[in-house]
Amino acid sequence: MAIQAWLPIEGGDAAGALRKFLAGLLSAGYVDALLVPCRLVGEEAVTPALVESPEALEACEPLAPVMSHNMAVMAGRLTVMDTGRRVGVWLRPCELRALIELTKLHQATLDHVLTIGVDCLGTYEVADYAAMVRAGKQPAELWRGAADGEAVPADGYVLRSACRMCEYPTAASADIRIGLLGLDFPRQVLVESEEPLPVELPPAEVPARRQEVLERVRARRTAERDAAFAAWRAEVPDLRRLAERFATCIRCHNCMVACPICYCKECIFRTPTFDHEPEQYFRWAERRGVLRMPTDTLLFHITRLNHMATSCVGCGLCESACPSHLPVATLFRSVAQSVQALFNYEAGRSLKDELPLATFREDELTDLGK
Amino acid sequence: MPLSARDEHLERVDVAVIGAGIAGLQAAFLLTSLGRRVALLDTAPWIGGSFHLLDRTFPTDSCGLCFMEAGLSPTFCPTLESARNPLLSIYPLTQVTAVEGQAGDFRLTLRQLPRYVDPARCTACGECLAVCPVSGPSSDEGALAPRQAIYRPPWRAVPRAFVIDPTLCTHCGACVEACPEGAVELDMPAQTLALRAGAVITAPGFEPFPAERKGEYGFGVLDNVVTSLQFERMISFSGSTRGRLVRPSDGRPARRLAFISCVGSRDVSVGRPYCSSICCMITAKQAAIARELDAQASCTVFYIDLRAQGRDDEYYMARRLNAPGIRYVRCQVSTIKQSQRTRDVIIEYWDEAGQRQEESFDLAVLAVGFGPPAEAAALAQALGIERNELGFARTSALRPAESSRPGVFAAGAFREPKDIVHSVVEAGAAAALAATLTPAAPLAAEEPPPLRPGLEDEPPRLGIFLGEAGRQYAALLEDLERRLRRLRGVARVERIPSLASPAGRDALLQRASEAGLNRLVIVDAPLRFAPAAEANLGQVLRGLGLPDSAVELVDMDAWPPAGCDVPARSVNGLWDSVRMAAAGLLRRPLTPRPAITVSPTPPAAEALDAVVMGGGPAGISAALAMAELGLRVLLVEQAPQLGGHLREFAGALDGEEPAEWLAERIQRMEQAGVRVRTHTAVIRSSRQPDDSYLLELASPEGQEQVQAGALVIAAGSLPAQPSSFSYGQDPRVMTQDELARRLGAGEDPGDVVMIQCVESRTAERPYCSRTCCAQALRHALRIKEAWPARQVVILYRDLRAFGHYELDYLAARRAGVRFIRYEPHQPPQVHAPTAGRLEVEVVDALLGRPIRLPADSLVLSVGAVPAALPHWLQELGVPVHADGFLIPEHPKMRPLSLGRPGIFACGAVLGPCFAEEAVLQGQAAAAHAAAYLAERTRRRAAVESIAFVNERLCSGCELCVRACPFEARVMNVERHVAEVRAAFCAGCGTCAMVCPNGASQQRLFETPAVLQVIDAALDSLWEAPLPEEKPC
Repeated sequence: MAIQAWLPIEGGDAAGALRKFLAGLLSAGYVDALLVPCRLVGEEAVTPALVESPEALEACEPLAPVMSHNMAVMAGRLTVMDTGRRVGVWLRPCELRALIELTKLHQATLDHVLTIGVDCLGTYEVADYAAMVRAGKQPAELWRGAADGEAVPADGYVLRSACRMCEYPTAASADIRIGLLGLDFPRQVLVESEEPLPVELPPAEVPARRQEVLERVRARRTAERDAAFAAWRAEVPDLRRLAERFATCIRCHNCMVACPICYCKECIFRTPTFDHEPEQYFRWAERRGVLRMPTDTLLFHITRLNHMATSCVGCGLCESACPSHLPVATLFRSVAQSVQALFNYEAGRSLKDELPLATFREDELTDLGK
Repeated sequence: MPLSARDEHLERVDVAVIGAGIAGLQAAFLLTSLGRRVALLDTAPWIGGSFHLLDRTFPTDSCGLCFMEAGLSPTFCPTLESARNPLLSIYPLTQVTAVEGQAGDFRLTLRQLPRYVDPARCTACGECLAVCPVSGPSSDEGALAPRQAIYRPPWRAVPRAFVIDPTLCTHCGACVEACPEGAVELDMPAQTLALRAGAVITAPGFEPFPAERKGEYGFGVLDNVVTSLQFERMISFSGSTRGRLVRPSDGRPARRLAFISCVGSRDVSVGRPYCSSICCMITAKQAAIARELDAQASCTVFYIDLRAQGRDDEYYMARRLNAPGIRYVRCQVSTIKQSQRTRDVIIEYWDEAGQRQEESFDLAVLAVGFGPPAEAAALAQALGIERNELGFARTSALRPAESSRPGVFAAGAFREPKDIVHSVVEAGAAAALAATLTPAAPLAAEEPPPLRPGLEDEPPRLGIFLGEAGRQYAALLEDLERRLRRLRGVARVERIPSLASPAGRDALLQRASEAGLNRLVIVDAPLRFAPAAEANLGQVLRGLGLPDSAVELVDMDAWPPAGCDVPARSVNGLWDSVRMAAAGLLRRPLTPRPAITVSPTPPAAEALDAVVMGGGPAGISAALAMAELGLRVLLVEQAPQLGGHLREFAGALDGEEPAEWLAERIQRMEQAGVRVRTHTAVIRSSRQPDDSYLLELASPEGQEQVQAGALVIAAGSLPAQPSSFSYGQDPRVMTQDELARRLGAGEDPGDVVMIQCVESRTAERPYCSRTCCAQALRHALRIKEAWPARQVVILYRDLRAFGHYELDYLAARRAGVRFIRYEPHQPPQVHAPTAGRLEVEVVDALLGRPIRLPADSLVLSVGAVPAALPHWLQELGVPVHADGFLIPEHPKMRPLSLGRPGIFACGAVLGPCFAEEAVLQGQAAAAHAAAYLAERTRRRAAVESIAFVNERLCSGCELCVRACPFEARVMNVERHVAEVRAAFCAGCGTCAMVCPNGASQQRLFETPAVLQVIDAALDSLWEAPLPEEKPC
């Protein structure tokens, strides 16, 4: 490992130190621009923002525990065609993993991207975050448990369910990694990089405790995940139960819009493919006696599942976006887990792993059809 | 002597192929691809040879024969495709009785035995089966499943008309009366026919050893002893027990299975001294499949040597050897008895420790060897060709496809027992040589007939026509017709005579045109069996100005269900098929197929037909055969001279002088116009948009470019460099090649110890190098011949003397060569003192104790390693195995293709092989390359289901680019969308499958139509099925 360094922190202001670090990258010309979470319009909202001027980083909220969009999608918008500009992108673990998937799907390129991955304790729903700010609470106080890896949400609030069962607390494959967990937060923030950095930082010796804390976080969240999957599988053992569970879906397509992996320019469910001829509806109604309208609702979910399961990174934005509060993230992640295991594939693990759909191995899935 | 005028009127074909098994069919397909007319003869009542009997064959454990076909049509099944092939005429039940004339112009006299059933009238309805009173043992199943005197050929047989077995028939006449079509003719005479052909390929196959001749194994006497062929049928779902493992004695499950190897092989006492080569693999496969069919089955294989046939088979065998429930016991079985009470089979054998053992089993399977077919003697006499002392066609090591009579070629098991892989290769070689004697122009691409004006704008008008195909379908059609009347969107439902008849053709044309139909569903007896029906349909479509895609054909026969060899007649299945066909057709746009224009690549370089890389026996054979087929060929060799490994042979190779062969081939290459460039490497290659390859050559004189339509990779292999046994440190330690040089120079090697499997079958090189055992035997015999007093000891793991090399093994033992087996975990140790003789210490696996062998020379039988392959091969997408050899597209059916258009391989680059095999592979690769070049344009024009991209929807994810196996997809980087290279598109639809939002579509299979077909298939969920008669 080339560099392990401490970020100088004044007055326990870790976020401030991170802003300064980012500004340093920008003013040194190390990157041409930064894609970071910022508070631009009002106090309540933190969204991705493309920053060109170091001064504008004042609005940057690196530690705000909220994720309005998956940053990977925004990174894709900036990099899908080469502009020659180098951009630094601030990424939570799930965002980095999504970016790796999107890169493999040619919806982003990493050629001119500096990935800055940050440890994650979890995020609040956007509405909850806003409510906390309005109530004068400090959502970033979540980080108080960083030293022990304990995410203790503010009273009356919970973290998003996807975060509670996320077994990826670090963004291990980023170019620059910002370490927060298992350290003396907020007095210590770790910076790791394979390449030399344009800012001078004091070298760090990583305490062994960090590894222990990370292991603990992973174990806890994995247990939570497995329990959630088991409960879900018990609740929905078959297609009939799935249909019943999804009966309140209003087919708004929000889950598809929020999903970082749903990259299609236009979803097939928004093309006329599923606008049937009037005759067809009557035929179906005749066949079964009654026809639910709109048609193809469960088919939409199953098709989406079929398309994104191999690349699902479990960010849970689908569930956050669901107006009917359906457990879509649990559904998608539990299926994704089985599918990815089938192909010995882990979404977002590495650029080198071939997408299962684009690879053919003669000896795989030999049990099928037996 | 020219043939007389009386023969002028005879049917004239380019090549007569005798034997319609896998080899004969492969040869016939390649020849028709090259535009040659072929007569395909077989003594059986149908074509297909043995493969009607085989469900699953090694090394893929699948049938997969449908991959074999070389030609253009959508491959379905080789026998069925033969029936449709306009250049192929089929002669069942036919023997050749005389062949006059000479290469280029032969006259064949044929005797065709009666079938007693007229194929033109038989509708395979089965009424005769109900009345035939006699039955006897079946030629395929033995006594396990008797057959009536009149019987139904195997499903997929061509012709499919019933047959009468004259040895069983009592002429009672019951079938004559029962046949509704009057097809049975009990007084049908045998006929004498004649035919003219430019060349003859003989591939009559093999016959299994009659197991009853090995009396001590009790076949035919003991209840639960079967041959491997009977067992093959037992594990087949269409065979005697329909895939169930049962004891013939009582029908109870057979769980404890014994397999006995070498029954009628390697056995002088029954006149079968040679190794049948394929039985070890058959046994390994059967044991594995038995375990698959019954997880509780335990298989014990009694064997002498494990003879996996080289690289790929070694991998296969290794997987089976270590499979749970399969036990291999090295021993010779002395007798087989049976318990009178339980009918268990009791096997008595001497184990390796010299102890007598007895074990009981439910079923014993005798892995019988294979010999020449019964008619071999008569056939050889009729053809005027010699047979060898074993009864097989006589050929030579370096002219392996050529019989003793010029213009008559031999292929497949008629030369020696062999597996499908080798038979298919030999058929290719024979086809190449036969084609050079019968020049013909390749077929031109057919222009699609013009469509009627305004067709695209016509609203769909669909008619469904039910052909009157035979009485057995009458009830079915009635049920179906009633239902069809309720189907929406159908303009007409009509009955017509079968489309196989002119009346059917005229009726269809007239009614479709009256009703102004533009889409047709035709329900008939399987049209694929009736080439006339296909021709008739073509005429109807031309008459209506409709494209092929305006029709869906539905077979009245459904595919037989598992465990049934009788075609099913299912009214519900047919109803589903018809409404699915109708639903898809109604939504299918009838647009003309877009023309694919391929601008020829500007001649940046000299344009050639083919470039061969590698000038060993394989490369030379490929280059010469292609040039003699009229192609412009360049042969590139990195070494300063041609010959490759053939130069290492000291002295004769089975009676042929390699040096003479080489000189003769080089001279013939010159005459045929092959350009030869030695000292030259191909350093770069890229695929051009017109589907040719641009190659960059480098030699000491500089670089140049050439362009070629096909590439043949014949880069060969190298002997491994031993890293043990003091090799390289002591001059008395040498490889077999080095010994050959010394023997060639007349040097006395003294007492010799040879060690087999050096750098072969190791953890690092897990494959068998195939040739080393035979090479060691040849050298041992040479030493014993020249210096009889010399001691020669061969240390081996499994002595793999395939086929006739077993005779060398026998001769070596008779000449006093000692054979000592060692276990791989106890390899021999070598002491090489500077003073004194070498000493080899080895633990004799039989005695279980170490012995010391003094020697003057230690000879290492080193395996072969692949030659370094140029990096551009992999860049072109040619797959390379982890062991460094190339991976063929399909091990059985396309053993010389590499999955990339126009790229073929031959020789040791595909795995270690004998010189004879290198020659055969070279010639076969030539046939495949020539067929590919001849059909390239036609193939392109034949792809109807070409893919296209809806750019508005395309997100540029490249999934289709990566998934396309034909490089027919590229990214347009500027616009970030995928594009189709239509000339490369094979219409497979993989791109449409991986595309998440339907941006990728496939002509004739567009999503809206496919959704309708699926929906129609689901209709049956909502209705009560009609009652069915059970097929079996």
